[in-house]
Amino acid sequence: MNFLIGSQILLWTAVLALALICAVLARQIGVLHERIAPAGALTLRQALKVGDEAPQFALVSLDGAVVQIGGVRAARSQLLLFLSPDCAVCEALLPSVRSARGAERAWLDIVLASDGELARHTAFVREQGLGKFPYVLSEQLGRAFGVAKLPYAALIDEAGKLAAAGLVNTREHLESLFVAKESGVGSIQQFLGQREHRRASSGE
Amino acid sequence: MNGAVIGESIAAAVARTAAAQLAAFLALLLIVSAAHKVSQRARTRRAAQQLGGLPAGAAAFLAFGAAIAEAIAGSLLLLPTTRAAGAWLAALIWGAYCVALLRTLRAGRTDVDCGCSFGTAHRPLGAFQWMRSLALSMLACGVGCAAMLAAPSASAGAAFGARATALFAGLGLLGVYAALDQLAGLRPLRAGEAA
Repeated sequence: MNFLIGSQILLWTAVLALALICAVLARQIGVLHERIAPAGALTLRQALKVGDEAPQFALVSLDGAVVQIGGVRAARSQLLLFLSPDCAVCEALLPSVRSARGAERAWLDIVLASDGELARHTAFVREQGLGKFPYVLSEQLGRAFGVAKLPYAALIDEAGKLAAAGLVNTREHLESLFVAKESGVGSIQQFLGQREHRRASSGE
Repeated sequence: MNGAVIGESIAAAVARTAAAQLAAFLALLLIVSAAHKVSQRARTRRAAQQLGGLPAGAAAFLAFGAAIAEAIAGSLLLLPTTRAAGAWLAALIWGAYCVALLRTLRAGRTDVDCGCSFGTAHRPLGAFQWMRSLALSMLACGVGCAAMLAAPSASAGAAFGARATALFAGLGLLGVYAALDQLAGLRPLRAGEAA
């Protein structure tokens, strides 16, 4: 009987130790989330502000279909991702873009945009397996959205207004645009400003 | 015949042991929660204010009352003779939390820190919180029923062994609960394959 009680106590002590290790690890993940947050897309100084009407374009994609950029769309948003075949960061971001296309397909259409020589882009699309994405070439489009650095993304909401925009170097940056739209916070600067305000008002 | 009797006694012993160990877990959880409420008075008062829709003074009183009720329920649960009363009080407390959380959610408010996790809440208020309260309330009901139906222990030595085991089991389960609490508090990642 004593042996059984002793064994039970030892086993429960082991369970407690394992649970505490798990709790500490989970806590560390939480702390890491806190420290790296917000990994938002950095909004550069631009003519087009969040909430502004996005410029409208009707462009022909590489596969010959007409792609409507901007404007009111029934329950669907549009993500314009500006990239270039010469941009290594753009290439590194492509797996995340493919993943986001699948995960967010219920509400989002992704359009890839660039400018320059058609043959180079056709080869880029073939090499990178981007055939499923509408791919448009237009210098005016980049100018209209104030694209200065790549890769740059602009998220247009269902009403045709700019919901979020910024430099997207990583998956976190890309997802931050979706979170920005969902939370109604347009940019990392706005988020940080609100957080500081909250901390100041709560006296933390 | 003998086999059936032995089988029945083993099942009864397992049920009694499980009830005692769960009672110890709930008792420790309530006592730790009460201590947490007292140590984080500002957060608890804010939670009471937001969940109950009360003015600051009443919310502070309610938060203090909740901590006292939790401490009483936890203490009652620890002792075999008062376990049933403690279990019913605990079920009432968690049931009240569940109702308050559901009311807040029905009002469309998900940005409230309910104060129901030991860490800082990163996850918006949702189904997880009220379902946890409901599960704890039902667990307390189960312990209450078991305590009312339980037969007295055979000997003082066996009772001491059972109590010691139950205490360690309660600590182990509390550790598991704390780990799950931390995991549940993590900000959820968006869907999508790793890329």
